[in-house]
Amino acid sequence: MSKFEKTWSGKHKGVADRVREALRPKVKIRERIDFAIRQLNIQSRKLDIALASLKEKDKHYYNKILDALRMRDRNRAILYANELAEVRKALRIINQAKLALEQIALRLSTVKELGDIVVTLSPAVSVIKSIRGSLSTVLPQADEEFSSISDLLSNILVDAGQIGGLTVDFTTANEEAEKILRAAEEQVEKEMREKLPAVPGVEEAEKLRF
Amino acid sequence: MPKPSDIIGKPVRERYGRFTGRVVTYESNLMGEVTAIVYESNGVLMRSGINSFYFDGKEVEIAPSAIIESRNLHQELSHLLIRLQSLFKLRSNKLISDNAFKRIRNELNSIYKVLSEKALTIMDKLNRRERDLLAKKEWMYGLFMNLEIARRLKWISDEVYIKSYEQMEKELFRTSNEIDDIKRSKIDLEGVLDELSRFIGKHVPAEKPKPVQEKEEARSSPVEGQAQKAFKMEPKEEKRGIIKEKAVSSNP
Repeated sequence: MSKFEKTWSGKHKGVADRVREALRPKVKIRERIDFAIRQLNIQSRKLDIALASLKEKDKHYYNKILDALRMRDRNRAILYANELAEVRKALRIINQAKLALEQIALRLSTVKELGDIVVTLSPAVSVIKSIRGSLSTVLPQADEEFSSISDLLSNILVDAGQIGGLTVDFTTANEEAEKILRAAEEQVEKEMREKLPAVPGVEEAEKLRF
Repeated sequence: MPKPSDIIGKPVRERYGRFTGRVVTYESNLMGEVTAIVYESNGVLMRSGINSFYFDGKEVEIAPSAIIESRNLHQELSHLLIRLQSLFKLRSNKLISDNAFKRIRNELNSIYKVLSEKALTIMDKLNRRERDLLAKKEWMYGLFMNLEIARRLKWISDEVYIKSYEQMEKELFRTSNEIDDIKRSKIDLEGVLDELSRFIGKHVPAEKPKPVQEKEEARSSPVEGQAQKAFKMEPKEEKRGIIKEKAVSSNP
C-alpha cells in the first residue's frame, strides 16, 4: 500500500503506525474532505438565507424610492437610494461568497473522486508494469498492447495529479481560482443586471404616478 | 447560570432591537442560581425566564426561548460529539481501559438520549415559531395596505403615513431577522445532528437481519425529519448501548 493510499483511507495498521497514531492525530484526508464539504454546504445554506433577506429588502427600498419620488420628496428618495446601493453591494458580495463556497465544495469533491481513482488504479499500474516485462519475452506482440494500457493508466494518474503522494499545486490552483472568480463575478453582474431593476429617476417616477 | 451579583444592574437589549433596559432584580432557585431576571424598560417592569435571555458577562440579550434553547442545545451536542470522538480515539490508541471506556460510553449514551429528545422538542418549537412569524408577516402586509388606503383617501397626511410606515417597516425587518435566525438555528442543529448520527452510524456495527414482522413495523413508522432520522436506532440500541466498540474490533 502506497503512502498516498494509507493517508487517503487512514488504514494504518502496523505496530509502528499505531505508536505514531498514539502520539499524533491520524490524518484521514477523505473523511476530512467529506467533513469540509458538509461544512461548506451548511455555510452556503446560511448565505442563501441572507440573500433571500437582502432581496426582500431590495424590493422594499425600491418601492420606497418610487413612493418618495411620487410624493416629490427627493431627499427621502436619495436616502433610500443610498441604502439600496448598500444593500446591492452586500448582495453582490454575498453572491460571490456563495459561488466561491460552492466552487470550493465542488473542487473538494473532485479531489475526493480523483483520490479514489488513484487508490484504485495505482495497484493496477504496478501489476501491469511487472507482468509486462516478463510477458514480453514469451509474447512480444503483447508488449505494445501492455505498454499502451500502462500508459493509459499512468496518464489517468497523472491527470489526477496524485502520483506518489498528495500534492496540490497551489500556484496553479490560485490562477485557476482567479479565473473562476472572474467568471463568477461576470455571471453575478449579469444576473444582477437582469434581476434587479435600475434605481428610478424622477421622470420614471412621474410616469408611474397615479 | 449567571450569578446574581454579576447580572444586577446590567444593560438589557432585545436581540432584534425592539427595546433596551436594565436588570432590576432576579428570581433564583434554592441553590441561589438565577432562574429569571426582572428588568425595566421605558418605565415598565418585565420578566424573562432563564430560557429567554443570554448573558455574555457584559449585557443581557433577550431573545425568543426557541433560539436561546437551540443555541444551548447546539453547544451541548457539539460537546457530546467531541467527547465521543475523543473517547473512540483514546480507545483505538489503547490509551483507555475497557472498564473506563464502557463506563464513559454508557454515560455518553444517556446524555445522547436526553439530548436527542430535547432536539426533537426544540426543532418542533422552532418550526412553530417560524410559522407564527410568517403569519405575523402576512398580517403586517395587510396593515401596510390599510396605511396605503388611508393615505390615498387622504385620511392621513403624508407625514403621518411616512412615520407609521417606517415604524411598521422596522418591525417587519425585525420579524424577518428573527425568521432568518430561526432558519440558521435549524441548519446548525441539523448539521451537528447529522455529524453525530454519522459518527454513531460509523461506530455501530451493522445490524443483524430482523424478523419480517419487525421490518414491517419499522416501515410503517413515519420518519419525521433529520433529528428523528439521526436517533432512529435508539430504541433498538437501548439495552445494549448505542455506541459500540467498532474501533476495538477494527484493530488487530
